[in-house]
Amino acid sequence: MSGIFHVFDVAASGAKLSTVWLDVLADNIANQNTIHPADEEPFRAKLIYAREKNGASGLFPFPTSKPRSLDAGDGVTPVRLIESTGESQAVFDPTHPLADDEGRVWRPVVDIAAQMTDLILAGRSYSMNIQVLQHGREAYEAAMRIGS
Amino acid sequence: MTIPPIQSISSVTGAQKAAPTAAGSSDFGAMVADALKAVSGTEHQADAIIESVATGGDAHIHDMMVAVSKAELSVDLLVQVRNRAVEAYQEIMRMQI
Repeated sequence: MSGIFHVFDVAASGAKLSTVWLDVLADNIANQNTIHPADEEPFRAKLIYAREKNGASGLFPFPTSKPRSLDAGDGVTPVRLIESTGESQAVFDPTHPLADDEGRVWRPVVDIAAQMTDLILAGRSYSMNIQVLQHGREAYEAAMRIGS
Repeated sequence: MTIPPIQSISSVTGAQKAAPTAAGSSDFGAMVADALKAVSGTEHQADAIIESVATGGDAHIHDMMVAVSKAELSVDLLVQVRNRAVEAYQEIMRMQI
């Protein structure tokens, strides 16, 4: 009986990805001033590598074992986090407590403008997926009223 | 619950008895029982997710709303199916012999 509410699973997967994205962005923005000593890697902003979901895996406890007739796909799933590969910036600051013998520290590799833009995108993506849930629910409820 | 077959009027025609309605190999009663189990299943899943949200577990708010919506829609669907079945039954029972 849960396979008939496929729209819910798809939209919930999008909402879940948006919440994961918000978490990652929050982490990046919180660490925008995190300085590392020169013998470590600098802090790098993280990105989510997400792929579309196709096939038989449903979301949380509602597995759908039958393939969809139109093969519309099952939403999106985060695969892993990737660290950004921007240019790292060593700053010469001998007075810094973490500076090494040559007085260098790593500044974090975080493009704050991109992070703030992505923050807006992630929030909008979340509310749009919730809207899909609302519209899907209204459609299902309308179907229940057929013939009454 | 199977709809009882209509008795033939042997003095007028040689009409056959009407067979009880069947869907594939299961009768209507089995279908309703399966639907009840599925609805109960969705309600249990919803309860588990609500508990997880309330105790700060892995589930998110939207997971909870989706699970509750699924449970509500399943119950609604079951009620509608029951209503239609009862209406159809009463329609038939109202027929004057």
